[in-house]
Amino acid sequence: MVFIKDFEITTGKNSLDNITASVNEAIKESGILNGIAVVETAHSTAGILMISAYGKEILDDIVKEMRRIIPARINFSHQDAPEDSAGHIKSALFGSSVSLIVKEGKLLCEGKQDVYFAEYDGPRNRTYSVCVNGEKEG
Amino acid sequence: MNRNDYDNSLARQARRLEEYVKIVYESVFPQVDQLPVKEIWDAQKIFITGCGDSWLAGIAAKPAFESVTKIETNAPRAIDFSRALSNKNLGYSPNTPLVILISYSGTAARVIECAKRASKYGANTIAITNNPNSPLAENCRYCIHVGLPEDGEYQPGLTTYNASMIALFAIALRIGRIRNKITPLEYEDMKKELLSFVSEAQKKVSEYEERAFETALKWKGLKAEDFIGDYGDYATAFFGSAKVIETFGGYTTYDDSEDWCHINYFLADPEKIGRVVINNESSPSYDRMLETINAVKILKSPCMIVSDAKKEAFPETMEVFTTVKPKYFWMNPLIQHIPFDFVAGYIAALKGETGFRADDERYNSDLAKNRLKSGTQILII
Amino acid sequence: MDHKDYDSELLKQVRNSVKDIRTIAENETFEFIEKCVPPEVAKAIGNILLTGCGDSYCASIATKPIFENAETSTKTGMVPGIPTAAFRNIDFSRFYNTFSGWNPLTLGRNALCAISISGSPARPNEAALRINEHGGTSIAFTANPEGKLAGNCKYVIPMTLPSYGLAPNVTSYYSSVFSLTMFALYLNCCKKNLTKAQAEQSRKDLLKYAEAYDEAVMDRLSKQAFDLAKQWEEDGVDCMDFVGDGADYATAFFGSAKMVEAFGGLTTNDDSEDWCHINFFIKDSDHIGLFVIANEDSPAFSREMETIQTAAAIRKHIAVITDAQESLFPENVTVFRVPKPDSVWMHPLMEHIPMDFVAGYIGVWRGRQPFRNGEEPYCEDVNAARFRASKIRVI
Repeated sequence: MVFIKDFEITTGKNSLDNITASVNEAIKESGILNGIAVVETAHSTAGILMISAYGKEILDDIVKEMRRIIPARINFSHQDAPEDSAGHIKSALFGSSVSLIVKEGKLLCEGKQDVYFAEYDGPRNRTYSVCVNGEKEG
Repeated sequence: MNRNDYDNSLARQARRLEEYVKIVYESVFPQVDQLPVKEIWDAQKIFITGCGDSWLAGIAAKPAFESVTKIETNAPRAIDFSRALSNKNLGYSPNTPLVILISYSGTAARVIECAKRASKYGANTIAITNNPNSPLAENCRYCIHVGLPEDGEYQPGLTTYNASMIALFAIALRIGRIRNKITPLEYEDMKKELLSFVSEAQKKVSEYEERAFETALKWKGLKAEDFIGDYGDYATAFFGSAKVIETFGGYTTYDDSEDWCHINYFLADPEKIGRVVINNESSPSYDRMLETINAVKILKSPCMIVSDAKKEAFPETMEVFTTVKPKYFWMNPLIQHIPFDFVAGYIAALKGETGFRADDERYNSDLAKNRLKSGTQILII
Repeated sequence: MDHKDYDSELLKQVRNSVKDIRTIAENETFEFIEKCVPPEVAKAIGNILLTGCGDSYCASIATKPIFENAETSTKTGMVPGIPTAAFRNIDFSRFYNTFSGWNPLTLGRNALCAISISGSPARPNEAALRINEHGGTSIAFTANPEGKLAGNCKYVIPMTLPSYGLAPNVTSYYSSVFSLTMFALYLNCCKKNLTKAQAEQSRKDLLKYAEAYDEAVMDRLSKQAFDLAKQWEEDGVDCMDFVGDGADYATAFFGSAKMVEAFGGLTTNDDSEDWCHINFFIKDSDHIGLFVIANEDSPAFSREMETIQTAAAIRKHIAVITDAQESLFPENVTVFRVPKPDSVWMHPLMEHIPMDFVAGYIGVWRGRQPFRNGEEPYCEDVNAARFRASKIRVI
């Protein structure tokens, strides 16, 4: 069976928000024990990332490194706000969805990696969806 | 006395406030979105200029620019920008200052002169006009076409004043967004609020009109109208004063809350002078203006107050027009001229006056007609 | 009766103009200014902010170009001096940088010149307290060095003020304009925009210009003003309109204020361009008097001439204050020909004299008290917070 649930989130500026709980909530609600959960956002200046669950410093490093690799510039061809233009590139390079294995009703990565909503501009009102595809109990 | 017998252009324009604002909004925002990021980023200072109502739109929008872009913004008189401004303000860095030049027709000689002077020094120039093929547009790097229908009734200026302000607000928001001084959420909210604020104001227009007609009946025999407003609200005050002259050719004067206490307080025959005060609760000079209003009360002048504060904040004897309170204070000038626009329009109609002295040939000679467009242009380097 | 037979405290001030300026100048030398504001303080100033109420605000507008353009010889004076802004007092106290925030890079380099003869009105004091609060420099220009404003400012330039009875102030305006001019020249000297010799020369030229309003010139201007005022009174002129550009806008504003103070006359003011857009349309063109300041070397002279020509076609009562040839102007215009200074920025010190005379004569004829002193309902204002008792709020 396939189960889809939509979520809303208000992000901060260049923020990373842990959304693992909402993914687990969708899995639980779906009743699916084994299968795949896809988390996706349709926004073009945001993304979905999997990041180590150990330490806040890692999040800081990721945000800083992304800004170092793709800094906001005023000479992008896309003539929107510099953060917005850089955000489109970040979204394209780092991806706007992740696929996760669901095993015995839980995420396989549980405890080791978390799912994050990555805001590359912000603050903004955003949405993302979790689609769970697999077998129900019995 | 039937109000309908005294219908006039300002009243007709005021009733269509929301409709015209929407037209301009739809026209200007997509154009402003195309303004190149680099040049906007380079702007270290902003100048807004124009003549008459267009200049006043610049003063009215100055608080918006300061609040949203955090860039130093000035709205000098056109003749001061083109002839008197020290060249220290020009040519010291690429694409700066950003000079925004406003002329509905795009033909005012002085504004074109300003554009030429700014361009000579490498400043970035944006024209706000309803004529994208005008000399002003040709002398500016970019042109924002306000998109008003050509066959509209726009004299005396009310719709065109609002059009200039909407275009200026759009530019301010774009700069603020690009320079990260407002968040994407704030940007979207401000855009939305612009329309919803005007929409709320539109609901009160008929109430303003009814009361303004009553005020016009009482004020039509007065000797003069004296306007008081501070900073952005100074534009609303000055605009009201200009409408007195344009509609019925009356005597009028204007000042800020402080200097009024030093000068115009002493005008003779205060009971024959109608005082119009603009005072908003969010204004940093709100308390000073209350003191000034108290001085007006002592003089027993007829007084109308336009404010987003409640009626109770002011003396009972005064005619208070409480306007819709915007979420962002800098939007106030967009609607606060409306109550007095009605008063001016109705006084003119009650007196049987023709706007801009159209029925007096002295005001319509070739010399008079050419006074704005054919003035000598001089380039001060 | 002859114009000389009329007298008032206002007319006395105008007639004593040159004498009073000499007295003011005797005290206000560069050495005196240097003692008030040491060179190292002046050198560190990056931006000049001028403010004051009423006439003091006019003095700010009048002297802004002298701070801004140190150059002394060309017609337009467009050589950069020091960035300067002249503010309405309420704008500086309550609005300046309130919405955009203060720039931390220039914060300490701002110097506010707060101008107030008595030093007691609330608003200039509020302005001084505000700049102090933000780490800038406050300089009081006041004739009351023991007063409130002097106490609230880090530096004080005491102004000389010959005393007169209650009247619209003219002498205090000379004093403000002269003091600010001396400070502007001194400042540009400290900042190496001018040499000491150039600054001294400018001072000499300014005093030479003041002296050019000699007895004969003053007598001519007084007589002309008398005749004009008489004519305008006979013709029932009941409103006056003043036009000036750049620093000359200060003269226009000042002139309009004198009419209000002297006899409560209804006045308005504008620049030469906007006048064509707005005040041109005032209906009762037979009963409005127009003053235009139009000096030959003003960068806006060509526009002022166009405005005068346009006005001459619709208005009966026009007076021009100018250093240009009378023959340049339409026949139905009264031309007050004033002396030509060496630099155009010197004009505002003296060119208001014809308007002061007009205010003086009409004031006498109409029998109104200066500032409606003792008249109802103005005198009820004793406890109102118009000037001194206004609440001070530092933003």
